[in-house]
Amino acid sequence: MSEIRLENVRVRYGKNVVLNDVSFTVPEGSLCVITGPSGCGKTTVLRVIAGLTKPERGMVYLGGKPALHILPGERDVAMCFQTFALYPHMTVRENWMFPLYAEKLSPQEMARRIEEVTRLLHMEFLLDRYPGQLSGGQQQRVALGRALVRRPRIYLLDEPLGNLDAKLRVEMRAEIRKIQETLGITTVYVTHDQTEAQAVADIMVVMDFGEVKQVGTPEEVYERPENLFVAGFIGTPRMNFFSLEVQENGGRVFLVSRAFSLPLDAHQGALLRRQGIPEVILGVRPENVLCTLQPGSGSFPAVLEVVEPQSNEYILTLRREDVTFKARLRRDTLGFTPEVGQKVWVCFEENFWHLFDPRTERRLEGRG
Amino acid sequence: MATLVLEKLNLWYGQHTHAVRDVDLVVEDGELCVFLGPSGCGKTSTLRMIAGFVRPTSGKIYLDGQVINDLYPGDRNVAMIFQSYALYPHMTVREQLAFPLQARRLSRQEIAKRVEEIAHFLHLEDFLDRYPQELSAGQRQRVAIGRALIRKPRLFLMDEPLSQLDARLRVEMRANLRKLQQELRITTVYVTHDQTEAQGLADKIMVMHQGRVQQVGKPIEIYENPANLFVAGFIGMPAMNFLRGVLVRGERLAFQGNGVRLCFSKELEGKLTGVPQEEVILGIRPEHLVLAPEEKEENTLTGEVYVVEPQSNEYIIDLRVGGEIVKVRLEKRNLPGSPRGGERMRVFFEDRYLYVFDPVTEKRLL
Amino acid sequence: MREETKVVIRRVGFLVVALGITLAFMFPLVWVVLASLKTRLEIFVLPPKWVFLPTLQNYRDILHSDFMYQLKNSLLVAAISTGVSLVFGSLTAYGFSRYPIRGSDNVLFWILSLRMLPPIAVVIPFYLLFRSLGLLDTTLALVLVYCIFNISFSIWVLKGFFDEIPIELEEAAKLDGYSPAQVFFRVSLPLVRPGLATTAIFCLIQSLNEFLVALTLTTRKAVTAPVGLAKLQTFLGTDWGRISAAAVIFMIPVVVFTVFVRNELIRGMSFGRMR
Repeated sequence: MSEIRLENVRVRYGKNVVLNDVSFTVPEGSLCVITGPSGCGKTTVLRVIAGLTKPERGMVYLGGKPALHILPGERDVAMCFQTFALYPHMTVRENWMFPLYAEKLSPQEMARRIEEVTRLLHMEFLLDRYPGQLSGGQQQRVALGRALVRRPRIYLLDEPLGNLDAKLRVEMRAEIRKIQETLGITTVYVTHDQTEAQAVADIMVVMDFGEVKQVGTPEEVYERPENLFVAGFIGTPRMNFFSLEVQENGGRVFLVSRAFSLPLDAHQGALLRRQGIPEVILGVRPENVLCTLQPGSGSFPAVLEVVEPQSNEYILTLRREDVTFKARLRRDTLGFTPEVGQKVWVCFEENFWHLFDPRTERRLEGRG
Repeated sequence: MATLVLEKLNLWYGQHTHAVRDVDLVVEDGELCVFLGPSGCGKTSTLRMIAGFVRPTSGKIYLDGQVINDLYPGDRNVAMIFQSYALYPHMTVREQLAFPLQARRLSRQEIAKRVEEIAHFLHLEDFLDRYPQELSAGQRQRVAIGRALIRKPRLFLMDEPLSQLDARLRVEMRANLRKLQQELRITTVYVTHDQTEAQGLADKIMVMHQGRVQQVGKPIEIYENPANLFVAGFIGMPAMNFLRGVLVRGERLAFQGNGVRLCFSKELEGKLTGVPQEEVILGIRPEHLVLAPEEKEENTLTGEVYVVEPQSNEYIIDLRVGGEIVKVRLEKRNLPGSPRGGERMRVFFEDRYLYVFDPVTEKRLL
Repeated sequence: MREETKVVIRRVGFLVVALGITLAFMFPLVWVVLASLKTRLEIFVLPPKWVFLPTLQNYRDILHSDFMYQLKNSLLVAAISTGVSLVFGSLTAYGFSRYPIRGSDNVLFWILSLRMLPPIAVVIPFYLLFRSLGLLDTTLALVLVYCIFNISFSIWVLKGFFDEIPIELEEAAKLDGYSPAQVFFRVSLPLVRPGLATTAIFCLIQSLNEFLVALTLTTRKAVTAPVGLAKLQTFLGTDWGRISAAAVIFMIPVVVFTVFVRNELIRGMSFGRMR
């Protein structure tokens, strides 16, 4: 009843095309996260679904029915704004009651809902405060709560954790994930933070410059990015990219640059040969870069430029000739203490190579 | 080139706010020291005392052995990068860079030469005649760094210089900053509330909370050997799991918490016997929990999968163990498949990864 | 084609209406300018003559009358009082904005309340005061009185502008080795230029237009232009042509100054947001 489907939606502000040909489907009951850098149009998508912005072209279906003509108030949608939009003259409790009055609920039901949300958001001692007396993080939770007290067909959340500190954000995102699972209400969630996006999403929609770059589960998007943009956007530290020439030598295909030369396996070699691509971009995530003190097969030497400890890991910045790249390694399995200026041997883990065509910026089929 | 020493530093705002309490610290020559803590912990106040914007209520600040408490900020030969960068909107990049040198009455040729040098060093040549409003966030930051560097200061102060950048740029600039500081070897004090940043950048971290120093040490030391409950919970992401409960000393020693029962390996039991308290808080980091083999009983928690969050090559799993939620960080490759909600899961930790705290004093017991 | 015609018609219609409204508001000004170019007889012709042979006789008369001397007085008084107000105003405002002063809210309110005094209430005490000081009919007396009004005004406006400057900009300059005074002159003051322009315009207009105090405290030597203008109305009759010419001349300095600081003024009016 509450599946959301966008078909070829296009939105323009004056001469600016904000959304171009946006299509995706959010199945009923799932949590869809739209992510992308600021200005990519993700909030506009939310506004289109809410009915606050009218697309110039394309269709929006809610529950399988065309919805463009339905007014925002009649779409049965609850939205949590990035700017909070709390009523300053009402206490937290009154802010939460406000949307419930409109639904004409019984007082018992209202009290029950408010109690539930209070517990969920840890607001027990703050119910009778005014928004002006709350910290940014608390205000954010009030804003979220105002959406949660309702039981609409669809939740729309615009950066609902944007103003919380890192620790609380990690805690709250698991809560939101759980709340959504329990209630089973179709939710669209917008965030610029790809970490958060991966953590809460059933489906991720990655956007850039008003276009959808990839739709998929968090695992798909991380493991098989369809293009350079998605590959670089998802994951931190970001994926290392190397521009390499394709060369054949003695029946084997090598990826070659001034810094190193990497042999490809027969399958991928054949693929590149068949497509006749002279140059590729190789993407390797920092977590798939291995470092040792001894040379091994397929490894090449590099110099350690920066060592950053991070919990039980190291983030290393390495340099070979004029190419710098990063590695993310677990401290307990590394086997040595890295020092700046040290020479180490590096290899890229098999099965985690991402190949892209530099002209189309699209993924080339192959391993990974 | 300088050593910074803080001795019994105290700061009161009015009669009631004791913002900084008895801070003692030594920052060695060429070291990068990070002041880390939540907002309002006194880290910025301490920095402002070093800069000379506020005067300490008591205690001494030494720079190279000289007490600088009463020195005017401009006479301390200290440079600062502000959170907002504090670039002058009415000056071009060239004028901003020259501004600190003009105060030193250098000759015009000398100033021009130094400006050229620093602009070249920070790749700002093409922007010298722009105003700050016309620069990107990253470029503004370079100008702020340049303005600080050009005077060849004894001490570098940085107040959350990366907080205005987006997450991605922040990670990149962090490594750049680290490299720059290592090349120049200027003693640096860096203030941040972001423990990730602190771990990545610091030679030495001073963790502060409620005006007090909680712990001073190398990043790895602080992560591996937190001195108390606050430091343990503040360092690491997701935060360390804390389990409240009592140590039951029967035939075998066990931990009894909110629906959680935990027995330990022989060695760990030996160590725990030395803990006098009955009530304790156990701490285990999410990344130190791994899937337990079926027959394993010691050091093992059994729970039900509550929430699953994919995160790059890992899963962060909220495990419901009795009445507690325990976060677990597992590498995808070590799991047979994607875990589902409601599934039973058993995780265990190695002996050295168990932390024990006193619930009253919050001090680390083990 | 039809669409385009419609658009053109709509645009022309809009222009005509806009022009009409502008003319209605500009009418007094237009009338004054026209009257200043007419002879005494032409001014009173009904219906008014829109096409006539302009004459500069009124201007010639005015240029050789006492009015030019009075105008000089006016400009002198206005310039000095504005300058003094800016200097004291900016320093005081900076002090209030940057340093903790006990009871500063009350002091600020008291300063503003000076500005709210109805001039008629203080004009007699002023007269007696200046008489006993022997300052009646001097420009100094006028400068002093205008400063009282203008300084309080500039403190209030400029404090707002100083408050908007982030404190870090000044701290950065201090660390760079500049003394507090240098910080004020090299960082803070340049950043409130829009505020200075706004304040200057208002002070200038206020001092130029002031009538009541000037009328009471001056008799001959220190008479200012507004008083002089009024005195052109004698009981022998009113020479509207000459009055108009004098009014036009009187307008020129303010217009010139406004054009001069136009850019700063616009930024100042939007309350000089930095960045």
